[in-house]
Amino acid sequence: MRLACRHEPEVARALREARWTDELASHAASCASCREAARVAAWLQAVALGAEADAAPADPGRLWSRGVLAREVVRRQRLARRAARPVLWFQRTAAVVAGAATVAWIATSGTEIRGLTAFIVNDASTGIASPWSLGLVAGAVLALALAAGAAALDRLDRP
Amino acid sequence: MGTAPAVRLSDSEPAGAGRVPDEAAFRALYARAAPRLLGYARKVGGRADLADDVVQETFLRYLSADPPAMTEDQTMAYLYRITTRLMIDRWRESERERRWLGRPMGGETLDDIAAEPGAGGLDPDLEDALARLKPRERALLWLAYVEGRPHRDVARMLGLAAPSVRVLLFRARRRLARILDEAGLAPGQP
Repeated sequence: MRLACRHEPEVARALREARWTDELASHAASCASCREAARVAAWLQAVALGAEADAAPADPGRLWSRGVLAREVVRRQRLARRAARPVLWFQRTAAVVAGAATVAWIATSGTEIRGLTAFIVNDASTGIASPWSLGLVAGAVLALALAAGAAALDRLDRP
Repeated sequence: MGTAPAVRLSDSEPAGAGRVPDEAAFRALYARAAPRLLGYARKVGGRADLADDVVQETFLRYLSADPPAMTEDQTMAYLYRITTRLMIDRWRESERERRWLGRPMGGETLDDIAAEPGAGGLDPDLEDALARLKPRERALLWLAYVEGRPHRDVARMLGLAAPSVRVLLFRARRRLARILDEAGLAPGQP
C-alpha cells in the first residue's frame, strides 16, 4: 500500500457529509489506501456521534459570567500596563543617565578617585579627597540601585 | 465547511481586536461546539473526569482572549487548538505528579502515561479499540477523519511539523485498522 492517497481527505469528507461523487466512489473502491481510510473514518465518525450524543456540557450562562469576569481582569491588566508605560520609560531613562554620568565622572576624575580611595582607607598623609566626591559616588550608587530595584519590580509585575 | 458565516460579535464593542461574541452568539456557538469538544476531549484525552474541565477552560480562554473576527470554521479550529493544548498540559501535569509520587518514569512517554489503563478515571469505552492507540494517534485520527482538519491545522494543534503529520497519520490509521480487524469491529460498530 502507498503511504497515503491524495484523495483520502475527500473520502473522509464524503463520508462525513454523505456526499459521494461517482468518480470518488469508484476511486475509493479501487484504492486500498482510500478503502482503509474510509473504513477507519466511518468507525471514528460513529464513535464521535456517540460521544457527542452522550455529552452533557456545563451551563453556558455560568461560563459566560465567568468569561466576562476573566475578560474584565485581562482588560484591566492591559490598561494598567499601558498606564505604567511612561513611568517605566522614565525609570529606564534615569538608569541610563545615572550610568552614563557615573562613567563620565570616573573617566574625568582620576585624581579625585585616588583621593577618595585614600580617604576611605583613612590614609590621611596622601588623602586629598573632597567631601563632595563621596557624595557623588553615593548618589550614583543610590540612583543605580533604585533603577535596578524599579526594573526588578516592573519585571515582577508583568503577568 | 469553509463557507460558514462569521461568528456575530457584540455591537457595543469597538471594531478590530478585542471583540467577543455577545451572549446570544456565545450560547449558540457553545451549543454547537461544546458537545463536539467534549466528545473529542473524552475519547482522545482518555480521562472522562478531566474532559469537562478542559472544555470549560477552553471556552473561558476563548472569552477572555482577544480573538479577531473569525468564521465558524476558524472558530472551531481555534477551540480545538486550545482544547488540544490544554490536554497536552494535563498529560504533562500527570507526568509531574507521578514523579512527585516517587514512581520512576523508566523512559515512558507522555503518550504512555495517558494511555496507561487505570491512570485515573479512564473512560470505560476507551478500554476498547481507541484505548489501544496512543493519545497523539487518537488526536491525529480524530482531527483528520472526524473534524476534517487539513494537515496544516493538525500540525499546528499538536505542535508537529506539517510534513510529519502525513506519515504519523498513515501509521495511526494502519494501527487502528489492524485493531479493528483483530476486534472484528466493522464500520459503524464502535
